[in-house]
Amino acid sequence: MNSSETFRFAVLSVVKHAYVPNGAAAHPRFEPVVVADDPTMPDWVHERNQKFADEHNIPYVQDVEQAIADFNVQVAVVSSEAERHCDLSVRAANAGLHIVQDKPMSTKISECDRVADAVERNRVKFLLWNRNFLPAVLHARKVIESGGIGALHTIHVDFYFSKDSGPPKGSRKSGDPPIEWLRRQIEAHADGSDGGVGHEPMGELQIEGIYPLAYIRMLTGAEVERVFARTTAHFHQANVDNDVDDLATVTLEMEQGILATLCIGRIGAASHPEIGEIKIHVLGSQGGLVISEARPEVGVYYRGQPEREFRNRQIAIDNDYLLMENFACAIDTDGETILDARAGRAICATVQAAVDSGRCGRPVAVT
Amino acid sequence: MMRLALIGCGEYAEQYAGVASRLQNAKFTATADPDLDRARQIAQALGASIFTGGFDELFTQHSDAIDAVLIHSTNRLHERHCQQAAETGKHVFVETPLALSTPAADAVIEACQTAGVQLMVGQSSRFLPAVQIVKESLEIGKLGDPGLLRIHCWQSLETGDLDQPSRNAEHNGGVLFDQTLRKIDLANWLFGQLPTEIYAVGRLQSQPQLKQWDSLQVHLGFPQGGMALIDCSMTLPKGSSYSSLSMIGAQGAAYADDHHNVQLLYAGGDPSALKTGQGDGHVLAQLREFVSAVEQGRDPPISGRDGRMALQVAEAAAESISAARAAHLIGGRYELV
Repeated sequence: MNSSETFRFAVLSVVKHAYVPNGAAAHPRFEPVVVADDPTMPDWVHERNQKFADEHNIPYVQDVEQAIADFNVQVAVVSSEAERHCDLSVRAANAGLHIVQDKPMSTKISECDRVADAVERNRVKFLLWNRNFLPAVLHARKVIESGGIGALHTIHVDFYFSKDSGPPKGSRKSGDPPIEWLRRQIEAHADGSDGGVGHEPMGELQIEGIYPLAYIRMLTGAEVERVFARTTAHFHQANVDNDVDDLATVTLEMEQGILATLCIGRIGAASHPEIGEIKIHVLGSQGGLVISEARPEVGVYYRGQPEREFRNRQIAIDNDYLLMENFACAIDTDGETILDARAGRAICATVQAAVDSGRCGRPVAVT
Repeated sequence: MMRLALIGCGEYAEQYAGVASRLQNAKFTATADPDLDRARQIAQALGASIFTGGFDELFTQHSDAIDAVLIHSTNRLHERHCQQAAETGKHVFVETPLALSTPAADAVIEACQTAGVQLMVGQSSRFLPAVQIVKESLEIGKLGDPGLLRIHCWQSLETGDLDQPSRNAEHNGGVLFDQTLRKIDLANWLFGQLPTEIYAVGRLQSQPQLKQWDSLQVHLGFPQGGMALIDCSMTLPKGSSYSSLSMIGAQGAAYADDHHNVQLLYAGGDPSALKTGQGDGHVLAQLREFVSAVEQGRDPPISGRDGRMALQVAEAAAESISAARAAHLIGGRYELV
C-alpha cells in the first residue's frame, strides 16, 4: 500500500454509533461503499442500516459475505450490537479485511480471543475505537514521554458521562414490569444516549470502561495485574432492573508497581454542565499532572438556551481523523494501531475482573 | 472568657495566630513546645503571656491559667497529652488523629468522660468552605443519596522533613494516619456511617529512604452501594500541593477541585498556575465550635467517637495493605476476607 491510496470500506451493521463509520468516512483516504448485515436481523436493525446507507448514498446489502465479495473493499467498520462485534470482525478478518470496530470490544473475553487470533492469522490490522487522540490526552502523553513529571507511578481517571438513561432509580411503581434492556436502548437512540445497545445488559464499566482504561494503558505502557472494584446501580431504573452498574470505582494494581484508579459513571444529565467531568490525574517521581479531557473548550450561553444543551463545547477535536490516520499508517507500514486486538482483549479482561470483583467484594486477578 | 493553651507550636500554630483576635469568649493564655523559642514566638503572636518548653510543665505549673487545651503535638503524643489534660480537668481539643490506635482512642474517650470534660477532635477539613457547601448540598437533598466520593490529596515530603517529628512516620503514624485518616473521616462524615468494605494499596513510590508508604489508595464501600476512593500521595516536588473532592449523588454532583480554582501567571513562556486559597475561616469556625460546645455543655461537632471511627477504618486499611486483601465490616469489626 502507498500513503495516498484510498481504502474502500464496508460498514458491517450500524445500529449503534454512526460516529464510528462517519468518523472513518470523514478521513480522505477512507470511502464508504456499502452497508451490509445479515438478513436474519430484526426490522429495527435493517431500518438503521438503511438510514445510514441513504445518508451516504450507498447500497445496503442484506448479506455480509456477498457485500464483501462484490464491492472490492479493503476495510470493514463494525458498529453492530455489542454481542455481534467480534463475530462480524472475525468474518471480516477471514475475508482479508482490515477492521475498525466500535466499543466495547465484547462482553466476553473468549470472543476477544477469537478476534485477536483471526487478525493475526490473516495478517490484517485492527483498531478498537477510542479517545486516545483527544488534545488533552495527547498533551498528557507528550508531557509524560518527555519526562516532564519523571517516572510515572500513579494514575487516576475520572470518567463521568452526565447523561440520563431513562427513568431514574426508584421510579418503577409496584406491579410495573422491569425495563427491558434492548427496548430501552432502542428507544434512547434519538437522544444519542444508547451507548449499551445489545441484547445482553451492560453496565457502564462494560460500555464506557474502554475509554479511561485505554488512557491508562497508553500513558503507563503497563498491563493491569489485579483489580478491586465497587459497582452499583445508583442512578437509573434500567440499570437496577437489569442488575448492571451505572457507577463504579476500580483500584488497578499494574506492572512495575504502578497504581491506578478509575471512577466511572453515567451520572445523570443534571450532574454536570457539560458532557461530564472527565479528568486524568498523573503522578510521577518528579511531579504531577492534572488534565481535563474536555479542554480546550469554548463556552456558549444565550437567552432561551435549551436546558440540556451543552454550554461548553470541546474544540480542536481531531480524534476521529487521528484515529483513522493511525489506522491508515498501520496498514501502510505494517505497524501497530493505537489500540489493537490484543490491547482490546486486555482491557476487556480488566473490565471483566472489575465486574467480578464488584460482585464478590474481593480483589480479582486479571487473566 | 475561656482560657486556651496551645500544645505544640508547629505549622498550624501560625493559622491560630491569624484568627486569634477574631475569637469571642476565648483567648490564648499559654503555649508549650519543646522548642522554647518557637513557644515564645507563637505565644507572642497569639497574645498569650505564658510559654514553656515542657509539655508536662504546662500541666504542673500553669494549670490554673488554662481551661482548655488545643493539642497539636506530634501524633504519637496525642494520647498522653489528652490524658494529662483530662486528669487536670481541662477540656480537650485534639488534632486528628485522636490517637494512633483504637485502644488508645478508647482510653482517651473514657478518661474525658470520667473527668467530665469535653473532647473534640480537630478536623478543619470539615470546615473548609468548599467542603461545607458539599455537605450542605447533601443534607438539604440537592444531590440525592450519596453515591461516589472521590478525593485526591497530593503533597510533598522531602527526606529532610524526617528530622521533624511531625513528618516522621515513627512519630506521626505515616501517611495513612497523618494525612489519609483525615480524608477517611470526611468519607465517614459525608456518608454518615462506617464503610462496610475496605481495600487499600500502599506504595513507596519516590524515595526509598523514607521507609514508609508515600502513596496510598483507600477504596471504601458504604451500605446501599455508596463508595469512596481516596488518593493520598506525598510525592509532589517540595512546596507543591493539590486537592480535589467531588461527590456524585443520585440527583446531582458537587466538585470542589483545585484545578477549577487556579489563576494564571504570565512571567515569560507558558503561564504558571496560581492556586487561590480558601482563607483561614475554617480554622476560626472550628475553634468557635469547640469554645461554644464547652460553654453550652453540648456535644462538640466532631466527637471522640468520630475520631475513633476514622481510626478504626485506617487500621483496617493498614491490614488490607499488608495482607493484600479486602476487609469487610462484620459484627462491628473489620475482618479480612
